[in-house]
Amino acid sequence: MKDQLQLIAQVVLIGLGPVLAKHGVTIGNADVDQILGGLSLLGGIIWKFWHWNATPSAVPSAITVPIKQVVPLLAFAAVFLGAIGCAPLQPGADPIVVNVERTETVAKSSFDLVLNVDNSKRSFFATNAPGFHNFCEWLRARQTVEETNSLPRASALLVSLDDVKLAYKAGRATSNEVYAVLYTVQSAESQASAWMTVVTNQPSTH
Amino acid sequence: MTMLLPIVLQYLPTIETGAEHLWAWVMSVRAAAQQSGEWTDENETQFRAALQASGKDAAYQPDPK
Repeated sequence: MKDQLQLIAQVVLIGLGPVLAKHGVTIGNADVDQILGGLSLLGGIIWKFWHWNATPSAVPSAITVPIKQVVPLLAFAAVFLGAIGCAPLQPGADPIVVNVERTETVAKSSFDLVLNVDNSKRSFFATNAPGFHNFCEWLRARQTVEETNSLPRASALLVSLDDVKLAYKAGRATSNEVYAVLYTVQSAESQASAWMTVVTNQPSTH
Repeated sequence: MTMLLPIVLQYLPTIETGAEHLWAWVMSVRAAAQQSGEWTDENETQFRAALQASGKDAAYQPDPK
């Protein structure tokens, strides 16, 4: 029960940070998102990975990330995420286009992260976390986009979204069509983030 | 920052798996939060090139059957 509550809290923190940083919450004149978003994300990540500094377990771990080396990286991230925060849109920038491009940026790195973690120990994850490995295989499945372009689904999803975005900018697609593809990508990205949280969790020893 | 990052990573050789991608993910969240305008043509080209390159990335290849 305690482990479950801890995992839920970690997921909320890691999930809340990017949401706050991405969408922003402004109360009065205070940019709450700038501080809370960064601190929530970083607090969640540090908490998530902190157990790697504890006594090694006899149970094989999913990945090995010495927390002493990760903390300086996260300190850098704290400076940039916490201190700088969200930038306001420039005049003339289409918020739909910018939102799509922000999603594309985060989704690409989320897919990179989960696929590389799985790729580092494919047999381990196939045996011990088949759901995660199957999700990665789903992301890897070849898809045809733009009629002749064969890409892994993770990339094909983003190419499709980018194509619709470009069509929208050119006046050949509606915002509804953009949102339809955007939600698909966001759904896959959310699953990737969720799996990232699960597979980096230390296996229970009892 | 782009000059410092490779140096920082160079001096963290004991990180075995995932940390560099975790870092890249954190930086992408930051980049997304900092984006204030639409991509330039150069940004667009770079993104499309990265997607195309992923087709040859070992991490993106399915299990052999």
